[in-house]
Amino acid sequence: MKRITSILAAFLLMAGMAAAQEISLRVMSMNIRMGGEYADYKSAPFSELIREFDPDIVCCQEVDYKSARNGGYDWLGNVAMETGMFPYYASRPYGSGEFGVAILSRYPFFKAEKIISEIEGENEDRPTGWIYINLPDGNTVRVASVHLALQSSQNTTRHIADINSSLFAEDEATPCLLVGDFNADEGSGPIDYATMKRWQDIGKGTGKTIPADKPTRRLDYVMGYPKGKWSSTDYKVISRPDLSDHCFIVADVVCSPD
Amino acid sequence: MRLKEYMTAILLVGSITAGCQGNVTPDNGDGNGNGETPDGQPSIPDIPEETDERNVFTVDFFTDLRDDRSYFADRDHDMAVNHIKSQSGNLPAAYLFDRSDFVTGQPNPMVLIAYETGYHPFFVQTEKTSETATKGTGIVTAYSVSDFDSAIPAGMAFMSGITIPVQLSTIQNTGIYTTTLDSTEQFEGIASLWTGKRLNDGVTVGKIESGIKDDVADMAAARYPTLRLFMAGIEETDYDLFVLCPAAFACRNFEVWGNEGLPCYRVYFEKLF
Repeated sequence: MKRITSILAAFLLMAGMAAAQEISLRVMSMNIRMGGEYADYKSAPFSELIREFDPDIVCCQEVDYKSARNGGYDWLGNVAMETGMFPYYASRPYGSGEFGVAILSRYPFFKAEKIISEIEGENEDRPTGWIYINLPDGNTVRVASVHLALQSSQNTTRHIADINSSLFAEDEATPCLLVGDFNADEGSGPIDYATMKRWQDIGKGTGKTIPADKPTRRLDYVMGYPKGKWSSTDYKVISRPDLSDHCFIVADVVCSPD
Repeated sequence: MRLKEYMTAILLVGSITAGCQGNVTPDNGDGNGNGETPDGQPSIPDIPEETDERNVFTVDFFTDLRDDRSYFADRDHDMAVNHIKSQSGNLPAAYLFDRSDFVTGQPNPMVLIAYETGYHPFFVQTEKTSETATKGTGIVTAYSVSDFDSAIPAGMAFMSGITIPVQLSTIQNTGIYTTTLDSTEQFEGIASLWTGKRLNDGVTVGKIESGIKDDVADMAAARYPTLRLFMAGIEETDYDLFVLCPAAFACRNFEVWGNEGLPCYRVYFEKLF
């Protein structure tokens, strides 16, 4: 099908819905570690944490759908019911179930897409998903949940390039957040590549995110496009070693127009 | 649906079916297959009399054909779950639930239905996002969804839909879109998406405010002769069923369902080429 993305921005502008004013969002990043293994694959502890912070968007990584290891459990469906948020799942087959990244949204999203990147030298194909949200204030924002390749720095960089080429192929106008587990340290080649042109590391200088009990590395990021337009009014790194090996991020982010 | 309305719906099945088999948009073709009428207007092929059952798929559209309350205001989502689970044979490609509104902070009916059926949930908003509640149509489907695509044309008719690999004589990626139309301007916006070739392999199923139906039919005949438009409704309701698709599709039939207090139209489509 010919996509209608290319005309989307024009229509949004006609409808007075494109970013004309400041965008404010609370976003949360949660790598839940192998489908929620530490929490015995149950959704409730994660839902409780989400409700505590009351975000607009949650980007999750390592989400199972009815896999053998989680006993055929619909983790995302349960979180959606427990939080009242609407889910989007970008996955690939995983045994008898599925595995991938997910997004939960407080507001309806009017468009969603996924890609599955096949990076040579990686042990698995990696899905990335994104949604478009028309916020109650009339602004439109795109949010993507990512879990980047990890076998080598080059692979991680290639993965970022693959995502960029899909994300921006038809839409360079809509402000966008790229949230999740980048599998790359601050100051590494992949992060330098990501932030060289397109992306802004909104949480630059904030705390390490892994391992959750005593973090020594920063692998989880909230990045914003266009570069230079984003800021954070609050950026928390949440340590919950009972739930994941990654710390979670809760960030209040703002995109200011020209 | 109340009993009286239900009976009315049943009585109207015949006329609805008859209406669907025709092409409400006049076919301007001269039948010679050259794609143009003698006066140069574009045309589309007539719908063949014989249906190729291998290329038929259905969409279930649950609606009260009104817009003053949520479809699930007085209904439990379990009724829809039971309906979906009770289907057998050639299953609908998608189930659409009109006015399954998005209430902020509460589980959407589509999420609940999808959870219990193992289907995938989507929500098509039909108005601007509100802080508290947003009107819209829910979609659940068993198919793996490659795209959830959207446009908001002039006139603010929201239209979104899923693209799914429907099993016909061969697997065909097919878009199933939905919208709610309250003005002719909104119809123009939707029709322009199809005629502009921005969409070329899918169907739109939704509802249209009854008072604009005649104007939309006239507009479609005059300005969008390459699209197939079907409308059908129940006299007592404020809205009618609305189907719009390009020449490659035909709407072959409607069935009105009223069982278990769960009013629903089953729309039969044939992929012609």
